[in-house]
Amino acid sequence: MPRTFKYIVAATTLVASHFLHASNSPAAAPITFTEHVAPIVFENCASCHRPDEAAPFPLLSYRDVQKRAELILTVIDDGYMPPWHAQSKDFEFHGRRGLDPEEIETLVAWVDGGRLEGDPAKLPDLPQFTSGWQLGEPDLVVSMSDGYTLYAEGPDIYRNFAIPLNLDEDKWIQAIEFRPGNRAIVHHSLFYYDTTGEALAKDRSDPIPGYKTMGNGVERGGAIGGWAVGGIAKKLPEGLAYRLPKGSDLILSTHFHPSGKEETEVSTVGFYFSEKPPTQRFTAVQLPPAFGALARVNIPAGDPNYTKTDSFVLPVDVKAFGISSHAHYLGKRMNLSATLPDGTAKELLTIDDWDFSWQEQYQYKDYVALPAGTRLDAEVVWDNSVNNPNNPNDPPQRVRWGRESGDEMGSITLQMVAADPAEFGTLAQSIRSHVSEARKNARNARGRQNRLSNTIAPRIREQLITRFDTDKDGKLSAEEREAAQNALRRR
Amino acid sequence: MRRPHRIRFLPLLLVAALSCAPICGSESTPPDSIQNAEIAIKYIDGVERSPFQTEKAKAVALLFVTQDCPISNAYAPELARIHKEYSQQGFDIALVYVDPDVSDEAIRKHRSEYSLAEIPAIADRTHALVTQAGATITPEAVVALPDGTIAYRGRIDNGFPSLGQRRHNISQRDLRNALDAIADHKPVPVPRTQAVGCYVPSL
Repeated sequence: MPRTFKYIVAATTLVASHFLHASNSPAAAPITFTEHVAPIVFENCASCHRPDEAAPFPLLSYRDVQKRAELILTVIDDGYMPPWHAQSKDFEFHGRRGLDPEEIETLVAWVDGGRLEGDPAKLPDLPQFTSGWQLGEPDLVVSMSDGYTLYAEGPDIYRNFAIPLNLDEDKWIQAIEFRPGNRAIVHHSLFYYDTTGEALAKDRSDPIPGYKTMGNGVERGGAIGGWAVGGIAKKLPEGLAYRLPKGSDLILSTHFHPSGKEETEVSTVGFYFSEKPPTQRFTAVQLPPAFGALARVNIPAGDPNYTKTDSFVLPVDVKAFGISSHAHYLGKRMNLSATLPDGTAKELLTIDDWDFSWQEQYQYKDYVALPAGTRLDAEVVWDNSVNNPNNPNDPPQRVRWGRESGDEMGSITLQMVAADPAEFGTLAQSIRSHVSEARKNARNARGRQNRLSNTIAPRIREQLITRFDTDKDGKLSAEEREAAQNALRRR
Repeated sequence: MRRPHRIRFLPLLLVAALSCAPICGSESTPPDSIQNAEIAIKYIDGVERSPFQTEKAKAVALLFVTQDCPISNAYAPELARIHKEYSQQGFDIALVYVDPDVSDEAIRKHRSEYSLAEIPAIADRTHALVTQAGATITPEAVVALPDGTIAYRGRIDNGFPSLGQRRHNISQRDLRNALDAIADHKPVPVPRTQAVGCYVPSL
C-alpha cells in the first residue's frame, strides 16, 4: 500500500500499541467474516456485486471479500463506494447507499485481525435478489431497435435514443424501470418524452443508432425520471404520476463509459402506468431556472469557485418529494437550503463532490413539509481550474452556458406538491413568474450589452480595438469585449 | 480530488495494511531491484521462461493486470499499443495476471476479448513476480533493466487521477517516457509514480 507508506514512521507507535493491546485482550472476540463482515457486505454491496449486475466483480463469498479487502477499504475511505453523493443532515433519502461508522470500523477491524473466516454455520443467507423487473411485470416494455456499438477507448459518449411508444391515449406513469443491456458501459440514462416527432426524426437521420446531443435535444420534451448505476427503480409517491401524452416517443439520454473493448448496448425500458389519473398534480422549481440558461453563466478560465445563486419564496405550504441537480464537467458543488418563516435553516441537498458521471434523481424517504414563506436558496459552484481533473480544457478556457458537453449548465430541481391541492395553481403560477423574472433580467442584461456596443462611435471603437485586441486579430473576441466593457464602466 | 472523506480512517486503514503484511505478502519497502533474476514461470502458452533474463532486451516491462478491474481493462488498448511499439524497439513486454484464482481459460478469453493476445502473458497465481517487482496495483508497470535495477514502477499514464475519475486530457505518459528514456540511454525522468486502480488481490 504505497500511499500509506509515508505514514509508516508516524504510525509505528500506533501499530505497536495495537499489537500490544491485542495480545493483552484475549477476552475480545475475534471479528470474523461469517459473523460480522458478511452481513454488512451482503446488505450493502452484494445487490450490485453479483453476476450480471453493474459491479465488476462479485462479493458473495469469503474468498471474494478476503482477497479484495484492501481495495474495499480504500474505495470506502475514498467515498467512492457505496456510490452515493447526496447529503442532507435534515432529511433522509429513499434508497440511500452508505455505511455507518460502526460498520466501517467492523470491516477495518476484520482486516486488522487477519481477515478470519469464522464459523461457516454463522454465515447468513444471501439476500433474496429479485431477478428481472424489480417492480414486477411492467405495463409496457420497449427496447432500442438496434444495438449501439461503443468503441473500446476514447472520451465518454452521451447519446440520445428515440423509441416510439405507439400510445393511442394519454397514460399516467408511476415508475419507469431501465434495464441496460450491457452494464459494463452504461453509466446513466435520463428519460424524456417528445410529442413532436423531432427526436425520432433526428435518430432516424443519423446513420448509426441514436443521435448526439447533451440534454434531450428537443425543444418540447418532458423529463420523466432517470437511472444511474446502482439505482433502484422506484414509484412516485402514492397518488402522483407523470403524464405521458398519446403519440409520445421515449428519449433515452444515455451516458457511456468505454470499457477497454468494443461493446454493444440495447437498452430495455419498462413502464408502470397508473390505472387512475393522479389525485393531485406536482411541479418542480428549478434554481436557477432553465438549467442556468438565464443566469448568464460565464466562467473565467482558471476560476476554481465560480458561483451562481438563486432564491425562491414558496407562496403556499408545499410537500417536497424529489430532488436532482445538473451541471457538466466543471460542476463542483451544489447546495439547496430552505429557510423557514421562523428562521430555521434546513439542508435539502448538498453534493460537495459533483461528478457528471453520477447524475442521480433522489427521492426523500418521507415528504418534506415546507410552509408558505419558506425561502429556497440554491448555490451552484463550478471549478474551471487546472486542478479539476474533469476539466476538458488544458489549459482551462472560458466556458459559457450551453447544451454541449464543452459548455456548462447548472441548477437544482426540487419536486413538490401543494400541501393543499387547491393551492396548486398558486404554486405553479409563482414558479412561472420566477422563470419570467429570470428571463426579463437576462434580456435586460443583454440589452445593456447591446446598447453599449451600438452606441460606441466608430472612432472610439477603433481605439478600443487598438487597446483591447490582445490576440491582434482585428476584432474583439468575447473576452476582449468584456475587458473593454469593464474599462468603459469604470470611466 | 475533491473527496473530503479521504483520510477519515486512514490511521485504521494503515494498521490494517501493516498487520496484513504477514498474510498478504506485501512488504514494507518495495524493492529497487529484482532479487531473483533467474526466477522461471510458465507462460500462458505453456512454455516456461525467465522473464527477467533479458540479455538481448533493453529492458523488461511487466504489465500487471487483473481480468475484472475496470481501470485495468480500460487500459487494454494502450497496453496493446505500447507492446506493439516498444517490443519492436527491443523491449521484452509481458502481461502478468495477478488474481490467484484466475484460470488459464479466463485469461485466454480476456486476452481475446480485449485484443491483448499479441502480448505474452503470465498467470502469477503465487505472486512470485508481484513480490519480485513490488507491484501492488493493477494496472501497474514495472520496468527492469538487464542488471536487475527497477528503472520504473507505477502508472501507465495520468488518465485516472483517482478511482472513478477519468482525466479528459492525458498529460503524463509515464511508462512511455520511461521506455523512451531507456531506449535513449538516459535516466528515467520520473522513476516511481503512484498507480491508480485495483489492489493486487491477496493470496
